[in-house]
Amino acid sequence: MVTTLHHILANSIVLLALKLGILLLLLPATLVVGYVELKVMAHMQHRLGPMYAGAYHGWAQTLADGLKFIQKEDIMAAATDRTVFSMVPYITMLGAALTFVVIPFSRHGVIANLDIGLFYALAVSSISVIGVLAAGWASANKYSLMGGLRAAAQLIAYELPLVLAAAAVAMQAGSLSLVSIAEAQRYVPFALWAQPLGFLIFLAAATAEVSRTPFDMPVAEAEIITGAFTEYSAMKFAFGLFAAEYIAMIGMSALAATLFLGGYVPLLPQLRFVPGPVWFLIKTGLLIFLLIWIRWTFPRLREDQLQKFAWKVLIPLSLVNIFVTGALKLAHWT
Amino acid sequence: MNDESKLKKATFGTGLLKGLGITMRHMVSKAVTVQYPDEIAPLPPRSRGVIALKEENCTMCMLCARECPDWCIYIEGHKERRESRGEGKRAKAFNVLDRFAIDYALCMYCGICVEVCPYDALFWSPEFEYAEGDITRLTHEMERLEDWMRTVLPPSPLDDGAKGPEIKSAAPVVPAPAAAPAAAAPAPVETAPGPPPAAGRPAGMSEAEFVEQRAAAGRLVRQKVYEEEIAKGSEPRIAEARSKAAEMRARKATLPETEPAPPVTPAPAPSRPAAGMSAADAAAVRRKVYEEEIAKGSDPRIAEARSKAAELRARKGTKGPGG
Repeated sequence: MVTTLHHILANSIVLLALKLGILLLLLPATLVVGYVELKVMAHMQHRLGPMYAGAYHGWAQTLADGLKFIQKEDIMAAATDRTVFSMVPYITMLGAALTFVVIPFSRHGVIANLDIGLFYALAVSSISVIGVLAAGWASANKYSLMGGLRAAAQLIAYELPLVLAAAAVAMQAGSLSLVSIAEAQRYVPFALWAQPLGFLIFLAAATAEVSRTPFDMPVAEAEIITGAFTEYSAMKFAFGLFAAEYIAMIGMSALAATLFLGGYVPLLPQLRFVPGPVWFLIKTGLLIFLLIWIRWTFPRLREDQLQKFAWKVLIPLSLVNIFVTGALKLAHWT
Repeated sequence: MNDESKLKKATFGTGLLKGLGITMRHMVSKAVTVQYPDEIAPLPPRSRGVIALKEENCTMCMLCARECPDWCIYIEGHKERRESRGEGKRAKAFNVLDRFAIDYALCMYCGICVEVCPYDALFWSPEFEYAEGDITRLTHEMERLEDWMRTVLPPSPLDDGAKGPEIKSAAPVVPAPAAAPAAAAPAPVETAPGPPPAAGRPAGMSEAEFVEQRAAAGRLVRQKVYEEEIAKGSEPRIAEARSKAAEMRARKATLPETEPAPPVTPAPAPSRPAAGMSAADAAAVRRKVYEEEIAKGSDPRIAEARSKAAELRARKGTKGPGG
């Protein structure tokens, strides 16, 4: 029976369908995360949030929002660079979704277990910024351009601490493959042992990467009207901004869960009977909730404050973290 | 995650964690939202939702329309002549109200019209659910404005010891002029009877005293009914409306038979805390004080004021005659 199952799974077409299914699940996942965010934000403000769409506690609210966006007229201003403008949602979605190629849902449930999975994940997650910058440029709107430039400037701040924090994890695990990194945390996640500082640095940098408060200067509704996406409407807005933002958030949470919380690996040996994907979803969900929680607690920083924070605090700390990690490794292994 | 930013602070401030704690605490506490169309938050009974018109009280004086800052009140009417009613009586002209409308699309709910109406023809009603899809339908004509009267609350009961509204009677209670010192008798001042005395009014009591006594009795009835209603579990608004109706019935009816108020000493009245003199006694006090003042050579006005004060003191905490 088990062998038959393995045979079926080994069938490349079935496997491809399954892997495509994971990517296709991302859109419903954004609806779920969006709904959770609406509810959490509402309750943090003593409100109820959506209560009507779908009859039970407004569960279908984000679905209704999505359908509304699909029905809307797609407006493009006369001066926009139409080709670039239309390409942007693809680029931002692509950058956000490609991370999931290397993220393991279970030991074998990974679309591609690349040897350089971590490197790949960090590389593709930066693609979205190109889309945001292109959106700002193509919109022929000063607010949009400002937003695009802010996104590009922000990249300079968060990318280095993000990579350095991840590098310490790779040193600790001795591998760049995300499956190996998860396996290296069997029963003791890095966040609790060896890399707690790296975990905090990574979370701060990841918040900046996905442009969420307190580092949401590129979209800053109150200042530059959603930044690069001021001129976007209808489906382009829904996909280029909302879906991309939430997929990127899920992706970064999943990456952080894998790097620092052990991903699909159970937290306790006694809990091994709980399947890996469940662990993965619990850990990712916790980090997503943390990001939402942070968003509705802290106010927005300024761009220069982020730069100062990243270059004067995060990067030195992550270098110290790498040094300590290396020293400990040497002390243990030699 | 932003715990790193704390590192900048020399104090390792706990501000960020405190902020997270606050939002978490708010998240797990109950939301204050009231799901309006499904549940309705209890409004204060005298909320100002819509202005109601009591048409029979309107004299078309136009004060409301003139004072309205938004000019949203429309009044139209015409004059009619009433033929002379009998020998030697003039024919009279009087106003007939044809249209009274308030445009709630313009109204800013300042309530000046209600304040300014001298004839109690405009009232606040707590109704607020009259939104329309068509702006022209927000102009409420007379029928609709009168319809809002259904939910207008009666005026609040007076505070303890407060005087009721001035009721003009043909024979104001004026202490007997200084030239009538013999007026110690209980009923000296009925020089001009004016309108026929109200039913049940005992001899020996001036019109104003009688009105005051009836009002006091009415207030008692009202309080009693209100407390009964509340005890029955009625809503405060309903209790108030019912008690008001009971008071009105009581006031219209003749006085309770307990009235006569013999000029004896005030009863100790154990049930009510403030046992004052009966109205008749108090009036006697007033006259006495007035005479004393006049005898002292005070100005009549001062004498009147002091005697009135003395009467009020005597009646302080007046209990109704039935009490």
